[in-house]
Amino acid sequence: MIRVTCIALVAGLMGLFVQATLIHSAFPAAIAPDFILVLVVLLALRERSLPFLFLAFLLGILSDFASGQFLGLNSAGMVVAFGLVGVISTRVYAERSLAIAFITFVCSIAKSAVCFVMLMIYISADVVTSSLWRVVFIEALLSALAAPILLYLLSLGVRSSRAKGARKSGRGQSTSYWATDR
Amino acid sequence: MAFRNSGSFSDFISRNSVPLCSLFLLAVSMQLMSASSRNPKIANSGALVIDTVLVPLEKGYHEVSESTKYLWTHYVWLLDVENERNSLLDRVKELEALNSRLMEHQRENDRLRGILQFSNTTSQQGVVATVVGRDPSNWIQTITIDRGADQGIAIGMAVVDGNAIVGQVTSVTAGSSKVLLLTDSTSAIDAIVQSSRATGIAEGGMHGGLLRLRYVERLQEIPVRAGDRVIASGLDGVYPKGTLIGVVHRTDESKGGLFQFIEVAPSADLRRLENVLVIAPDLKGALNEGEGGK
Repeated sequence: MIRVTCIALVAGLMGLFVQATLIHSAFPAAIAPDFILVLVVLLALRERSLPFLFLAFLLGILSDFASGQFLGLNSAGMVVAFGLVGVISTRVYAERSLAIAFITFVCSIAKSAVCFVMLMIYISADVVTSSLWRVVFIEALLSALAAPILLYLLSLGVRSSRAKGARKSGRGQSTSYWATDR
Repeated sequence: MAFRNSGSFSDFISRNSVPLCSLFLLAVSMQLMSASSRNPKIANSGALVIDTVLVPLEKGYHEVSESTKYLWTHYVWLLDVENERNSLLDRVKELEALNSRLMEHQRENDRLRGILQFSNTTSQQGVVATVVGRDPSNWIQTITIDRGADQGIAIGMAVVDGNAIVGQVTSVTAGSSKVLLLTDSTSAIDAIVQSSRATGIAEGGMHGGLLRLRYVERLQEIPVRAGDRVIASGLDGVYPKGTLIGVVHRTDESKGGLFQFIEVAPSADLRRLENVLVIAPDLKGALNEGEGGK
């Protein structure tokens, strides 16, 4: 669990870095996928337990810290997304990339809806414009596309980490982590 | 019963721990949102923590990105600039060559104008010729011109540039002629010092491409001085009277004898001859023919 937490936090920071810097410098007007949400979805797909729920919440707080505007906005969205994965994943075969992309898409929309509602409640309706929904849709689409790729990269990272651990302890290499060890 | 109820409650809690915790965290989030909307410092303090991690990364990325941009704009992109530069250099070479040709035409035009002016002022007719060769040896000073017997050139004809005497034709073929320069040791021109009217023979063969004006008597009313113009007397029947030979370069009074020692510098620049006029007094309209041939 500690390893997963560390990997998730590092991956979250990396995601924020990519969102905040890489994508915007390469494509200034581009909409970036929400890597933190993708991470939360992948965590929820792996295990819907309390520690993972808190991890999702923590990643949401991390995202809020990065924006520096409102605390609790993204964390609420991530908690909802985490819960939604549980609801959807029982209805689709979540091992397939397409299904993962679909779940991510739905969760992204849901998270945005939560953020919208919270902004409506706590700030003002003027903040939310109609063009925002276009952004929300594109962000969801990009997040859905990024999810299978991020899953593959995380699998590689965890596998390599486990292989090192196994070599140290003298045991054989384990199988995949995110995909099969559910 | 109470135990059973308590057990079922704990079972309910354990079975629905995730949804319940989700609600709890949702409530926490809303509280945080409420607090941070009222007091933005709460979110900002967390942002500072994240910034300590992300900002160095972003700075590093920015530097790498700027370096890459610099590398791209100053090196990789310059590949196109280099191609452009090469094509421009080629163009410059072409234009330089063109300019050189045009300048050459201009100079040739100037020379021909000079020759034409000479022809007009002296009423001499002749054939304009181009110098195409020089004698390879240092002993004989001749040039080859591209006009010969076919253009009416004959042995003994005088050759001038736009300004002064060059020499005389010594051999002729159908399409070319040899001109003996006045600086050759076998060349001799009957000459007059224009100011003093002293007569003599301008002979070649002196060092430095100079002529020696011989047989000028010492007893002259007006002495010969450096800078005096020396012209052809016309008595030799080759060079028209008054045609410039050169200017007195040096006189030496210390040398004894009946005659003065006078060195004359030819006015024609014999080392840079390109176009000359062969004076052909017997040929009517030869000048026009020569220009046409040129």
